[in-house]
Amino acid sequence: MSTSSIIMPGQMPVAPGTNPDQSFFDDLNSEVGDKGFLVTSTEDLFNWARTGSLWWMTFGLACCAVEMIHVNMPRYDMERFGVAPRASPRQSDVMIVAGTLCNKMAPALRRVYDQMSNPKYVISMGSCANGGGYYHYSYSVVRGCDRIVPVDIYVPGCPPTAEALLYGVMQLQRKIRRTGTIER
Amino acid sequence: MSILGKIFTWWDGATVGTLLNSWKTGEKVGVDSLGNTYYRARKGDRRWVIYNGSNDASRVPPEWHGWLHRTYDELPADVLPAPRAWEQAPSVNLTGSTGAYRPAGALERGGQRAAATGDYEAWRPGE
Repeated sequence: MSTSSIIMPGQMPVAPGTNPDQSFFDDLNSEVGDKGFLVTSTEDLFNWARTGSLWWMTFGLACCAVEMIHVNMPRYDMERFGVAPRASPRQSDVMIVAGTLCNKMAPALRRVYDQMSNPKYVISMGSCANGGGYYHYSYSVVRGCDRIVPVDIYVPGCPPTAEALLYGVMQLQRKIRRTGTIER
Repeated sequence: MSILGKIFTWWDGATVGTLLNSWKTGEKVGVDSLGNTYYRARKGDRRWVIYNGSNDASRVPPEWHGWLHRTYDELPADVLPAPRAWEQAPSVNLTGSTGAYRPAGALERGGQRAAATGDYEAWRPGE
């Protein structure tokens, strides 16, 4: 195994019909490139600031919330990435939906999401929040929190480890940094 | 990466603090095929990696992942058997690139979903 090499995104074969027309984007890029210098620089600055202070709304619903607490404790220490818990939706940037979303809780979740200030992001944590999970056929559970709010990052697992959630948060930071580029 | 980038960003390689700490307390163990550098503490048994590029844990190849997570104590080149002919090359997480996984029914693949299979009986209120 020691001689194996990892496949990087650029080398990856793309499924037919899905890849954008590269020459079109290259033309567009060269056309816009010399005009939009200031805009891209400030965008980079904004994205740097946004990714550097992703305050998250504490929305722990079930056992996933325990792992969500772990990732804030000194071992995984999410605050080194500037990700700090907030109790108020008006001060938070990202909502981590951790756990089973019941029908009864769904209006509250949507209200909390609506109260957050833009730009706002949602991380769906665990099987239950991703798609209902174990309770998918229950009469009282929403089959995935993406039926209620738009979700940016899905973290799989039941529950996901604290490492997995930390990886999800870093993926969200990458996603924010990709804003304004063609590859989302 | 520039000096300013090294000071103000955290997503490419080690931060200044990690570099200082690795130089002071760490001992270099090896480099993998992507150029990621692996360190071991001189005192104690701490192991860590400094990425050559994006700080993405999926960029650690499986053989070094085993060393990093203490599946084995020895270096991967010493303990692992030669690669088999049927082994595929590992892949990094392709999310955010054009090679990202798009399940059937995703908008990027046409958005056509298979009809419900009818393997369960839906309950309607009032019946």
